[in-house]
Amino acid sequence: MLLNHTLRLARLDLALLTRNRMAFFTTIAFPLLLGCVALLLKDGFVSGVSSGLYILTGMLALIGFFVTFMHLTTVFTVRREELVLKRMRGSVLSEAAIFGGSGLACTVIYVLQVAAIITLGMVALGGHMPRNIPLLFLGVVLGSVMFVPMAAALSGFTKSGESAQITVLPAMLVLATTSQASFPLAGMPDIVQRVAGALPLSPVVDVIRIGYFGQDFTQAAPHPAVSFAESWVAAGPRLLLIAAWIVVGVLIARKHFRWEPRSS
Amino acid sequence: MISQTLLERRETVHRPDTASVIEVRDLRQKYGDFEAVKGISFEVRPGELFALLGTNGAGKTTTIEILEGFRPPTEGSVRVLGHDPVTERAKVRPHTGLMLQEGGFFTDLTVVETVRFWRDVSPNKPYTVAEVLDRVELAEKGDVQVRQLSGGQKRRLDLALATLAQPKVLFLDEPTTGMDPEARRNTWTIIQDLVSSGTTVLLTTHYLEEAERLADRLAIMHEGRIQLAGTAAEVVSQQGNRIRFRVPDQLPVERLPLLDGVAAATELRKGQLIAEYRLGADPDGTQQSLAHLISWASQNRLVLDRLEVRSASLEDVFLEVAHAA
Repeated sequence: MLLNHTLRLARLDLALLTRNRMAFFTTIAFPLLLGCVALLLKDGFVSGVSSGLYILTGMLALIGFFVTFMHLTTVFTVRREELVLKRMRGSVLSEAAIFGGSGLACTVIYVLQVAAIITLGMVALGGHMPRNIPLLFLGVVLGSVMFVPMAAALSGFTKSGESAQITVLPAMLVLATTSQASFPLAGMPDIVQRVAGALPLSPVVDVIRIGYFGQDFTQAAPHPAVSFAESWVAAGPRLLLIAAWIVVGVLIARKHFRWEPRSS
Repeated sequence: MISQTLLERRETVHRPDTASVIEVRDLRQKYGDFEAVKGISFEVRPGELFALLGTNGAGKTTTIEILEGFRPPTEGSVRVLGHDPVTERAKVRPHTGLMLQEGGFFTDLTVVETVRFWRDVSPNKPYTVAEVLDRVELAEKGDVQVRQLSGGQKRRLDLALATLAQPKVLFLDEPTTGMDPEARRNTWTIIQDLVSSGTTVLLTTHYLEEAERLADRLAIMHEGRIQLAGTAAEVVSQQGNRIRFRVPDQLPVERLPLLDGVAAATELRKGQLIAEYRLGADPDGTQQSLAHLISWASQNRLVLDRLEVRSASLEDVFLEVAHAA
């Protein structure tokens, strides 16, 4: 029953995505544009790897922020204000199915976006197939899962669908600048690097880069090459950190998520 | 003027002879310092339609939403089909249908897509999508996006969603608000059909005619309490009969006679002074009072324009409760 409901809700969410211009732009068009940013940086090296591929792999993590976090913050807020969540909660749908369905739809889109951008990198940047495909996609999926409860939590502080674009801004600025998605923090003080490395998007970036390059990005540049098996070991602590953020997200969502309009 | 007998019933409306589908015991609900529901109890038996009437802010929606499992009560207990609707949600939800007071749709979906989705996730599928839409007369709107429906059409869609699984228990929160008279009557027919087939219904409404027509029993709430409860006939019969007429021009109100010891109450309606006597429920007494009034009018050469004798209506009772409290 749970799986059936989750799948039906995910299918519904995918259908609704195509009917809302803002949602379509946030989840489909804008992430692809972000991926194309890497094409502008074909030349040079960053952190020991091609700058284009460095940015491209960073964007693979960052687009999860838009596809899942930003989109779902808006979705949960709008559905709450329009009493859709109330109707869902009053039905046979479980809370797990309600969140799981929306999360699954976003994750499917995110995975497809990642596959498309990797292909784009191979064609336009001379990139290669990821060295550890399962690890890379595990990072993508866990990153998406992590953003679901976080979006639910943030929606509790968001008044309307329009204001969701604003409430996600601080998080976007912090995560985009601290996650090393676009540039390394090697020159920053050690404490800054440690704090930045513990924030939610940073482990997603690291896991994706370990999976893509087959190098240990938890180590300072030049990041040592790792075998397929070693890449799992290298990524282990970062995967655990993502899992920890999922737990934190769920706890915050339990406290702050609202099923009914803020005015009621 | 609210009868003591019915006032005594207001705290407890039990019919313990049959297992209850809905049980409410000493229910209280507070929002901060505001107490929306102040200790009410009632039961609804299988196949019964129970209506909660009340003014705005009476506590009807709070009560129905607690029964729907949207929030736990501050105090007291509620049971639906023998289960706590909040903590035993999974046992209750497959057997209940609910109609919200407003909204709750994916407005980008069409009517057909909306019904199809909710039918697909429903545990029971006794009707096809076409049958569901046909029943609420929305078949022609199947391809229209929900956002383009009128208010009344959205209420009909809501009713379709609430009833598409033929639930054992149906919660209807002001189901016909915004509907035109024809749609309202169609809705009543659908509800009556469901009750006939064994569905238990808890209904809140502002429309007294709706409650009078549909409800097996009803309760009138005001300021968080049940003020009166019983069948519509019981509630109304306790309020007695009324004699009403337009006070003749130039006649001082003080000269109106007492009827069976009761003085006339007067009020100005559309520029005309109307006198009303609120008498007992005994028909003989009412007949004698009427004869006395007519005799008095003849003796005084007065014409009693717009004279009417009638039983108290549910509206009279409702207004009395609203004004008395």
